[in-house]
Amino acid sequence: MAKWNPEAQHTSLKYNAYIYLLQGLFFSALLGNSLAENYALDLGWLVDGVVITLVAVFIYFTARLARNNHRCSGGWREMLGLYDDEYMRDVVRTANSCALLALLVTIFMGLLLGGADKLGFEQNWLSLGRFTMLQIAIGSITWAMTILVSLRDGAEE
Amino acid sequence: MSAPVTNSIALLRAQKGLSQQELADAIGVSRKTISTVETRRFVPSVVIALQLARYFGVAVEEIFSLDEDA
Repeated sequence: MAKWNPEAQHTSLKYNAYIYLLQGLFFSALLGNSLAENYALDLGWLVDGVVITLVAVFIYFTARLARNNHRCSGGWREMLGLYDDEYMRDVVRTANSCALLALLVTIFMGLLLGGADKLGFEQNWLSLGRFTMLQIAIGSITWAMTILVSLRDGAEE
Repeated sequence: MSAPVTNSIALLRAQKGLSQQELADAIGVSRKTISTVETRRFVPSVVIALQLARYFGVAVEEIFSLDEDA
């Protein structure tokens, strides 16, 4: 099996994080639209605009990733995130831990809200769909931001 | 927060006139790995420590040492 170039792994992980960040923003927009319905606001046009922009940015990032990385792509290792560069593995482990922690906190808050609902919050605001969107958004954004902060680039130090 | 292990990679690299990228290519890791090890943000595995020692032709202890102040 050909060795996956470490610099290509760095590029792959960085673009992967951008894509996860876009996913998080996408679900945040959907959640915002869903919550706006409670105020009888029609934000469909705004959400459509955000979604179209995010899709365009997604296509831009995936195209750039394919262009910059195509000669040394990790193939299925890239799809599964099986990095073998030590620092990349360490960064992914840290991001996984942070995302898991963020999800656990979200689930715990959901448990508190669902278990002791005196204000009708659950009935009016909380649904399984919205809670799932919130989890996807929080998990994705936490994971992506941890990666991007860890990989923030500097000139040769 | 910096790791409690100091290293002399930057010094050894400078003596050989190498860039971080050249050193990274020579031992098969990313430049980010070298950069974060040099700045003590990341402590590498024994494998990378041994590869660095072999590349520079010195003992591992001459590259890495415990930070007594930490």
